[in-house]
Amino acid sequence: MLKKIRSRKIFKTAVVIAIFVFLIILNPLGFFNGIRGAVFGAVYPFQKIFSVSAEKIHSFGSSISSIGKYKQENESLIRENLRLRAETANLKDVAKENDELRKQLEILPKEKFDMISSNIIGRDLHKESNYFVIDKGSKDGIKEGMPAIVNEGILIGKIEEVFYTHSKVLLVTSPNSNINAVTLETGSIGVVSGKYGLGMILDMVLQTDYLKIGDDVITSEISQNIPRGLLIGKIKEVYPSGGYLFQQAVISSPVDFSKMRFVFVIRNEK
Amino acid sequence: MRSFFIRLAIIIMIVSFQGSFVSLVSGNLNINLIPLAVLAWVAIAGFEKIWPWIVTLGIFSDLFSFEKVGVNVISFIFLAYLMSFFSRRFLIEKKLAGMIVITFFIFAGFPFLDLGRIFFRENFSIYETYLMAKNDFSAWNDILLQGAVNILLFYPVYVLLNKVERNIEKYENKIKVFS
Repeated sequence: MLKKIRSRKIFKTAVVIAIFVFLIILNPLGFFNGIRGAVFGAVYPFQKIFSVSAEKIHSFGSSISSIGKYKQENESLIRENLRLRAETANLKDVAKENDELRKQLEILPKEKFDMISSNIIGRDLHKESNYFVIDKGSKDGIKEGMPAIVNEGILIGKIEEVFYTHSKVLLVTSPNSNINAVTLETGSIGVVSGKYGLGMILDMVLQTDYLKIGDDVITSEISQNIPRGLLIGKIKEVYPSGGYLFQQAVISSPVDFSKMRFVFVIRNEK
Repeated sequence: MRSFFIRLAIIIMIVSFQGSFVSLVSGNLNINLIPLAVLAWVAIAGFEKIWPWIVTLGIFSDLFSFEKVGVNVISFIFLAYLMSFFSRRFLIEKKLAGMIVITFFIFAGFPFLDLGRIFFRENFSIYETYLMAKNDFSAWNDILLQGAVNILLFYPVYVLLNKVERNIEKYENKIKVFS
C-alpha cells in the first residue's frame, strides 16, 4: 500500500514541493553561494560566447531594420550639423557657467572616478529587470556595494554579489534596491526603489517637501559607497503614498536597460 | 553515466543560453525557453523518467537567476505534474490534442507559473504577487505575443530534446544488450 502511494506522481510532486518550500523558508544564507560561484565559473565560456553572439545578432538586426532610414537621416544630419556649428559658439560660454554650477551642486565629473568597464554577460532570466551579470569579479577588485553606471554618470545599480570572475549588479529598477536620493532643483530627500509595473519610485519624501515633475533625481551623500551626484532619472509623476505620511514620485530612467551592453563600476573616487 | 552527463550538459546549456542570449535578443518580450524545455521533456520522456532532471533544471535556474533555491524547482515540478496529468487524459501523442494541450499550457500556464514563482520568492507575500499580477495581466498584447513566440519556439526545443532522448535511449538499450 505504502509502496503504491510512494510510486504515485502526485506523491513525488508533493515531496519535492515540501522539501523546497522548507528550503525557501529556512533559506540557509550563504549555503548555495559557493555552489553558485562554482557554477558561474564553470559556465563562464558559454556565457561569454552566447552574450557576444547575442550582441552581434542584435546589432545586425538593428542595422538591417535601419537601412531605409539612412538616407533620410543623412539629410537631417547635414541640417543638424549646420545648426550645431552655430550653437557651439554659444555653448562655450555655457560650459564655463556649467563648471561653476557643478562645483556648487557637487555633481561628480567622470574624471573623478576610478572606473572599470565590464560587459554584461547575463540578464534576468524572467525579464523583471532585476539584475545583470557582468564579467568582472573579485579578481578585478570589485566589491559589494560598488555603484554601476553608464554614460556620463547615470546610476543603473550596485554590486550585490561578487564571485571570482563575475558579479551581480542589482538594478535600480529592482524592488530589492534602495538608493538614497535627492531631487536636483528642489532638494527633496527620499529613497529610490523599484516597483512592479511602475519602474522606479522615489519614496519616503516628506509631505512638506516639494516634488516637481521633470526634476532630476540624483544620488545623495547618505548612500554608502555611492558618490553624490549620479543621475538616477527624472520625475514623471507625483502622488501621495497610501498612508499619506510621505509623498511618492514615479521616476523615468534616461537609459533603456534592455539594450545595455556595457557598464562601468566605480571602484572608488580618485 | 553518459546519459547523466548529457542531460546535465543540456540543462547548463539551456539555462546559460536563456540568460546570456535569449534575454538580450528578445528585447522587451518575456521569452523563456526553460519552462518550454520542461513541457517538452515531460511530453517526450514522461514524468516518471524525467522528474529528477526537472528538479535539477529548477535548481540550476535558481542558481543562475539568483533566486532562493527552490523557487523555480517548485514551479517546474508543478508544471511537469500538470503536463503529465493532462497529457495522459488528452492523449498527447495525437498531434492535434497534443498541440492544444501545449498551447493551453503556454498561454494560460506560463503567466500563472510566473506568479507562483513571485509568491515563493517574496516569502509568500500575497501583496507583492498581486502587484506583479496587476502588472503582468494589464498588458494583454504582450501576453498574446509572448505566447505566440513561445509556441513557435516550443517546436525547436522539442525537436532538440527529442533527438537527445532518442540517442540516450539507444545507448541505454545497447548497454542492456551487452550486460
